[in-house]
Amino acid sequence: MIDVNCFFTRLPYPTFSLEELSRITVDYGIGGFVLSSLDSRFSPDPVRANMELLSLVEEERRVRLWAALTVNPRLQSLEELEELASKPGVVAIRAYPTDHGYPDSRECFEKLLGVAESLGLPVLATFRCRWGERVFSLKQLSSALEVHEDVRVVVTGLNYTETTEIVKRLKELRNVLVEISFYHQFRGIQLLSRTLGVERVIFGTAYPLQNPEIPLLKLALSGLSEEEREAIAEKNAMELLRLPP
Amino acid sequence: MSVIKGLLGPYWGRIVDVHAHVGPDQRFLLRCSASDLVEAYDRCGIRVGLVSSTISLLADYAVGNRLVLEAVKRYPERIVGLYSLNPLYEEAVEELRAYVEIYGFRGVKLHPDYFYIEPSEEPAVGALEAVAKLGVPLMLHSYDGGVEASKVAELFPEMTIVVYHMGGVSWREGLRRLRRYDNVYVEISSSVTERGLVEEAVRTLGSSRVLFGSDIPYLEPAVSLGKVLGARIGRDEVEDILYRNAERLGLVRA
Repeated sequence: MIDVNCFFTRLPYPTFSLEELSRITVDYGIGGFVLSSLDSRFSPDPVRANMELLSLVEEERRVRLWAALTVNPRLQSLEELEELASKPGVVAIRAYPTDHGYPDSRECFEKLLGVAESLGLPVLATFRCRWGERVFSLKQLSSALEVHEDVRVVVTGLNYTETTEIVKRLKELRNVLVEISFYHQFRGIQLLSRTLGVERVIFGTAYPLQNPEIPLLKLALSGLSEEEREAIAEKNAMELLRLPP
Repeated sequence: MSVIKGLLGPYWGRIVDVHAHVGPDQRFLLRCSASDLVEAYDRCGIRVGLVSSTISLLADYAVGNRLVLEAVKRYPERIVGLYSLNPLYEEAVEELRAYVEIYGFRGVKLHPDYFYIEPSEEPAVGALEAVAKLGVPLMLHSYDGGVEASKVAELFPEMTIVVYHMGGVSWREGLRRLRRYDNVYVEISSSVTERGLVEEAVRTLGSSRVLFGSDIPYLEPAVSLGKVLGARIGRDEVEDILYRNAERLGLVRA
């Protein structure tokens, strides 16, 4: 299994622990984690957080980690990012559109997707990290995606309140995947698989924001076939992130 | 996958869901018939649930209550009725007695947001007096950090009050506010899934005052199951939350 929605933080709460990730790996067979910097949500300039994340990914030996570089399209230039993106272990870009001040800006979404296209990396777009938070405009993201059809985007943090948006907007965008950690809707994974196709549904835990047991149980109890669950848990991530077997 | 499912093994078939609904909600493309609910319970190892209707909340309390009654009659071992009480309808209080005494409904559901009423103000207080006389528990939707629940607990110290969602986003505040009322229990369902939520509830109230609920059809039961089974608490405490407390309170047969 691959967790595409895992966060590194130095904040006292929620607490990030490599020992705990190691336990999750052993207990539940999660084979690797795509780590994003949670602290970079709160900083307009994520360069330092990205450097810290890359060091961790490079040095860690107990747990298999990959990095998603935080990109703020309002500040960072492509040139700045190219060097970081070429480092080993970088597999995606993380975006925090609401926290970085562009929840409704099509222009910023287009710039973000342009950067991703140039770097050849998919985007993890954070819709929310916690229930009750402000969220970004899926309409503006969708408009920008029509221009950048080759960029693949994983929207993380969607919940039942976005089900109609998924059906009326995201369904037609073949380059969009939905990550399941916060999608808590009754029979929700079935609904996503039916609406988007199982190849566009992808596993994440949102560790350490919530217990990994929540998404793990959602998938295990989803009623999907073993083959479908394996696609969501691992195969889709391997293909999207071009991970070695 | 079998490992994670194995977490449920010791509790499989014994779990009591104190918060579920039958009915639709097209705002989120949701539907849950009585048979859908039972299918979900079978899929997740849940023995029985206390059920109201989304129709009572969104459209008409009386139509929803009749739907629940049909569900109870169809699945008497799996579905226990909750009477949705909208205090703004005088006849809702009159009908309550029949649902409890004749049809065996075990509690009353009150949703302040959908009924546009504060439970600590008239005419809700008058309606709750009728609930108190019948001696059935009150299931109170609470997304206000337990503010209204604490007022009701103050007014009705003998009434068993189950606070749905633990106060919502302000759950920490809710726990602190509700701690002093021995007649108050909290139910853990909601999209608030922060780590440590169940541990904090157990620390603050004791495991005997924390109850498992799913909030079907808004949420998948796995959400609340993951909160409990991923919590750093003992097996006894897990059993309290998943079924023992609901049985002790007489919400369902043991």
